[in-house]
Amino acid sequence: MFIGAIGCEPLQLRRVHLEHSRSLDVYRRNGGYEALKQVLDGMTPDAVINEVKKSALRGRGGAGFPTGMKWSFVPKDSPKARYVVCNADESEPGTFKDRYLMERDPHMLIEGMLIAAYALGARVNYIYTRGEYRYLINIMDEALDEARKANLLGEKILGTNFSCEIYTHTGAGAYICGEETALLSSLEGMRGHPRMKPPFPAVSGLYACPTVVNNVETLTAVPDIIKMGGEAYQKLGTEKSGGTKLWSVSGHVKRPGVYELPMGYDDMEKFIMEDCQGIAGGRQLKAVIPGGSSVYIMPASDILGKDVRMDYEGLVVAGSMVGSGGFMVMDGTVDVFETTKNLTEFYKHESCGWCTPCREGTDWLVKVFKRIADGEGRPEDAQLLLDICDNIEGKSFCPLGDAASWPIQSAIKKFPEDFKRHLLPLVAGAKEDAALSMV
Amino acid sequence: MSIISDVIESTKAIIKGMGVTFSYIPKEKWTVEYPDEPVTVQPRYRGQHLLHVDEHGREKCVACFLCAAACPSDCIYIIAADDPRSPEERIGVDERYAKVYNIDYGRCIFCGFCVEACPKDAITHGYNFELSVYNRADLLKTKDDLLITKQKQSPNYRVAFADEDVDSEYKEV
Amino acid sequence: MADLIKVTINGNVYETEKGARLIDVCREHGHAVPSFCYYSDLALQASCRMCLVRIEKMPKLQTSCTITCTDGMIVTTESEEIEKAQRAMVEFLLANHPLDCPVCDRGGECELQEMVFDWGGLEERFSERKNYAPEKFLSPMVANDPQRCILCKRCTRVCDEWMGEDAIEAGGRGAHTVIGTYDGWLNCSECGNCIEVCPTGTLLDATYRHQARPWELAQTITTCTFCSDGCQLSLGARVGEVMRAVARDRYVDGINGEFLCIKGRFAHPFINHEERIRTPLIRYKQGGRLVPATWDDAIGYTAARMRAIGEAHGADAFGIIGSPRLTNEANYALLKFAREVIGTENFTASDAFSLAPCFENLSAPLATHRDIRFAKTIILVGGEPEELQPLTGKQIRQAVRNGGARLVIFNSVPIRLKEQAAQFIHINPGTEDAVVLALAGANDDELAAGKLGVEAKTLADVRRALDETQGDCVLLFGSELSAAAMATLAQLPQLLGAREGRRFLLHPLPFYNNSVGAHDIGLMNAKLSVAQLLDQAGQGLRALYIAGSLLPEHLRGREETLRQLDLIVVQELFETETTALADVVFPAASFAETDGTFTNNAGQVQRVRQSIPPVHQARPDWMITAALASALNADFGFQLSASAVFREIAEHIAAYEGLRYPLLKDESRPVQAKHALAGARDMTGAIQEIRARIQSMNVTSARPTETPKVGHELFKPGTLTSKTPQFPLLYAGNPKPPTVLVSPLYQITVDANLRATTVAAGD
Repeated sequence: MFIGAIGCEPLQLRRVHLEHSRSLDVYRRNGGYEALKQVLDGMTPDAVINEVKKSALRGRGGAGFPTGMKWSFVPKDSPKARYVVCNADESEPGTFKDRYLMERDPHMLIEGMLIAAYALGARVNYIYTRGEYRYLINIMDEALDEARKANLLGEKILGTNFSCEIYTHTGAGAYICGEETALLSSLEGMRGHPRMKPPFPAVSGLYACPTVVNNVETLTAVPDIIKMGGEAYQKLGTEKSGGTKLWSVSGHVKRPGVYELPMGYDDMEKFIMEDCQGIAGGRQLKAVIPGGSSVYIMPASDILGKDVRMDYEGLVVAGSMVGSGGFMVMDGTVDVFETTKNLTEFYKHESCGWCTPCREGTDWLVKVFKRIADGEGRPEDAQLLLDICDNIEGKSFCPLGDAASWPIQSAIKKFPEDFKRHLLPLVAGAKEDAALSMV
Repeated sequence: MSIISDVIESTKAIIKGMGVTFSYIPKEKWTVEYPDEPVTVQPRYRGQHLLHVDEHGREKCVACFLCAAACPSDCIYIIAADDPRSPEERIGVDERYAKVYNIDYGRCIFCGFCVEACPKDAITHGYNFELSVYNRADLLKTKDDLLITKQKQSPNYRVAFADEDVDSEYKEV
Repeated sequence: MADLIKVTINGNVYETEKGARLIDVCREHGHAVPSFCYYSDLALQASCRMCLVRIEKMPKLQTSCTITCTDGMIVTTESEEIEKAQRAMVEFLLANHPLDCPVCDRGGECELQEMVFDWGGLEERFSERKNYAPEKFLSPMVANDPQRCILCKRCTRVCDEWMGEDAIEAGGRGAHTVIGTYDGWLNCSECGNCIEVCPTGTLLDATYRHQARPWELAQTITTCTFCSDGCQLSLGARVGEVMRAVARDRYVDGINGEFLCIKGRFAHPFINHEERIRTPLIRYKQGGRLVPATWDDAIGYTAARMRAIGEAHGADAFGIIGSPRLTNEANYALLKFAREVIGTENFTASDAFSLAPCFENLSAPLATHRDIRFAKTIILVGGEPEELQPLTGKQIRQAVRNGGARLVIFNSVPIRLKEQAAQFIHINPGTEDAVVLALAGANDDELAAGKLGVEAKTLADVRRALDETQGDCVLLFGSELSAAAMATLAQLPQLLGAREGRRFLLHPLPFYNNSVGAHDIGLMNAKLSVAQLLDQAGQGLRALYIAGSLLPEHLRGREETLRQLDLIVVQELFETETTALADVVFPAASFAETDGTFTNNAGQVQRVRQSIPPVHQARPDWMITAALASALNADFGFQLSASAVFREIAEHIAAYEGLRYPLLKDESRPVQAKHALAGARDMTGAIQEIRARIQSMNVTSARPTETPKVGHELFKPGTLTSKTPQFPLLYAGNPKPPTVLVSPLYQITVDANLRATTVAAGD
């Protein structure tokens, strides 16, 4: 297991290897809370937002929305309270970066949240963690206590007029609560259902007040942006997406782990073969899901020799997405049909049941997958799966429907052989081209 | 015209007519000696309705009223009811059953729409055709007359086999 | 008029109000947009995804129920892409939907069924096993088949927003989401509105379960006979039996929309109940038995006795008592009988309290229920509308929740509506009059506040809220006010003075379906009240002619004196405490068997229509009165025609002037009676009277602190409601049966005593 930076100085992972890295002492000795001091010492909230805008920081949760822009959507003249909510509901399959950040460097998150709260004028803020991360809540609570004792939290922080409080909250283990509006519903104590957008949370979020919901990694990037300046941070990455990005590498590589790469890292083949030390057991690379389960799957032929740049634009060109950076590598032993079935079962289990296409569609998909796996596949099933996906995609209430359909669509398109294997031999007399003519 | 030619013409006509009559005497006869012999009815014959039961003897009818809705002569009357007992003890296959199921044969036109409409294959046409009664009120048949377990089948018919050619026999006429 | 904007739908340009919802605009102009979860005046849901449309410059298809029209919007509602999506949604909905339409009570009026006819695919591609969940009961009133659910959540929203109860909610997740209750059993007011709004057969009327199919029922639009709100409902009858009452918008579109309360929806079985009086009954000798008789005998016998009493004691020996439960026609016939046949002024109606002081001093129009929904300030003095006038209660709740109205409640009991109140002012029991005194002016604040047990500042706050109101301000009052206080409250709009942008509306909260009508006809401003009239029994009074039954509060303790009367004639549906005293009992027709009109608490005159022919030998009340009159040689002239009676009402009663049945035909546009507005009156006398009354009042500050249980009034088994077998169950605390798979009726036997006790003769 490797945790570290490749191709750049470690920013997010700067302190994770230190002993007692989660203590306030260690954090402060290594440059912690300097950014906060800097902000409180004379930066206006607008200046902070401007720095973040200049940094070209994009949301690390999956959608990649420019953070500075999100912050500037919060109405300045609203008489209501504002909230900063940290989305630590890291539940995308294949993603485990936030866990390390919170487990080993909780104060970086607190500092980031304080700066965000200062920039947005929020007094009360929440860290929403998934139910399974209960132990992280204890770590966070300890860190928050430490900060409180050191007057980094609470009334009149560091002797200034800025007062701010942060609370932790756990969900009950629903994937959908990683969606920002569902997270807010859950935080309010209601069923974790997504809400209608618009109004966006920046206008009417938690308790119908302006709210900014940011991923852990996004917020932990903020102190560095303030310290080194937005422009310098942007220069680490590309023009449109600045800074560094954490990739949670798992699967059949020799060295899985959390990798910090600069945005625009060149190229994916080098990353897999050299930085991750290649495929375990000397087998062939078959496929990569680069950004958590909700993105298109990439076959080896789209990676090897194709010079895939690892940033938002580069991966879109290569036919996939950065997503949450859950980098899953699969070798030749993997049956993509089984992988897809597994993912679909996950989405069926996690569909919240609000809207028709996602609720019934995922259920149906799983039933078809199970039937195929039980040897009852029919030649027209591939077409059926694609059609169901097509009927879910773009029609569901929240993006979970899209996320459920994309892996299947790309898997059938990119790995028709794996599906043929399950569909064909069992159907006596079926013509191969008829069965998979859609691919 | 003389009277002689009249006589000749009449005699010719009688002989011609009797010729037809006598020519049939040696042929096979198919007049049905009902009720001494049973009538052969075709499998698709639409006689008195039968209400069916499943293999456990429970009525198949769930009182959905579709037969009554389809009936063009409005001769089916149903009262639906709830049977809260366990599936084994129930009267019907479902919790919902027909407490009353009446067909008024004074109005029924044997169109078979009720059979078409039935989603549970609970009602079909049987072969009983002896429906004449002395009292008009007796034309109202209740569940006791219609249930396949209770309907008395007349001995006066036999159903043709599926491959039996009953139609062409009549076409000869 | 709001600003108009232009919207292009399928190439046609329409003008519409700014802020209009796209789906409404589409439908208004005939572009069919299907939907399940959209329900106007409820929170948006956007979960069924049926109403997808294409809007230019927007990515993906958009749900038209969530889109607010903007100027220049270009919308397509029909295209290949949209149709594919909509057909896909129906296919998804059907995937786990059981094919049990033949046994489903909603079959034939099911929105999903209709949608499948319009949008369903020809072939079924779903060949897998469907998810299974057993059919069960949520309460004695609500049956539930979770498999049929399409999760549109109309029911949960209605429960929350209309009823404020939040008794049902979705549980589980994904394809296993089911609508359920919090502890497995539904303990709510059992209004059944969740059943009404359910587009499929998921939530079903347990009292009508497996009884009939909708196309077999003859639907008749009529007015509810229980409370004074006058909800419009549709009675479904089959071969002379009323099977159900619904307010579905496909059958009826009244002031209540699809809203009904437990009584309106479930308490109809009394109509065909076996205990209905079947024939006229005569008690030939004092203390004897009531013996069945023919109509001719009974009418002849009664007429002869009446004639004898009239000759012996004169016209004023008769007392005639109408009822606030009867139609205007029946009450008018009684009034006419008293005046023209007997020639006495000894008539009244058996109502709990008289609205006469209110109507005599009425200085503002009566608030319709729609007015209440869109009011800005609502003042509720006494009363408990959520139990006694549920529609008014629902409108108040929606005015607050969906309309942002300010609700101020004065009550000695923390009623459930206080959840919605901006200000709940807990007053000492019996001091409601002091509220009127305080509202009328600041002079008596100290006295009022002292007796009410509140701070003087609170009262000043309420007055300021009244002062500041922009828009409608509705004053509602219950039965607790004294006559002087009621008169003063009715004059309050005058006392506070007119102001631009503020409109006062009054809304009395009488108990009975035709309390207002009984007043309008003139029975309630007679010279004697019921109690006074009955107290004359045995003195001047020798005979009573009662339509309906006397209220327990009037009857109890007077039985002995009433027995001294020479003749008591009663028209009733059932044998009651009043018929036990009667010498002649006529079987009357219920509201479902007669034509007529009811006037509700908003002054709206609404039609009652005959749904089934009178059961057994029953006859409409006004026909009995007319027959009696004719036996006494007085021809009323309106034999066999309710419309003729009403025509005569319209000619004699000023508030009903010009009304005819054809004008009352459309239930969606109810006609308000023209109650005369009194100008400013000098109220010093009345205020002085209230002051004196309050000053002499001995108040206790022991206020009930507990919110009364849901249904403490609604579930009371009365003469009519106790005929629904489920009511005693509910009144016994709605116990959860051993299994929810079978109706609790089959599992729980309610204590025989409870079933036998009728708490209130008039419900």
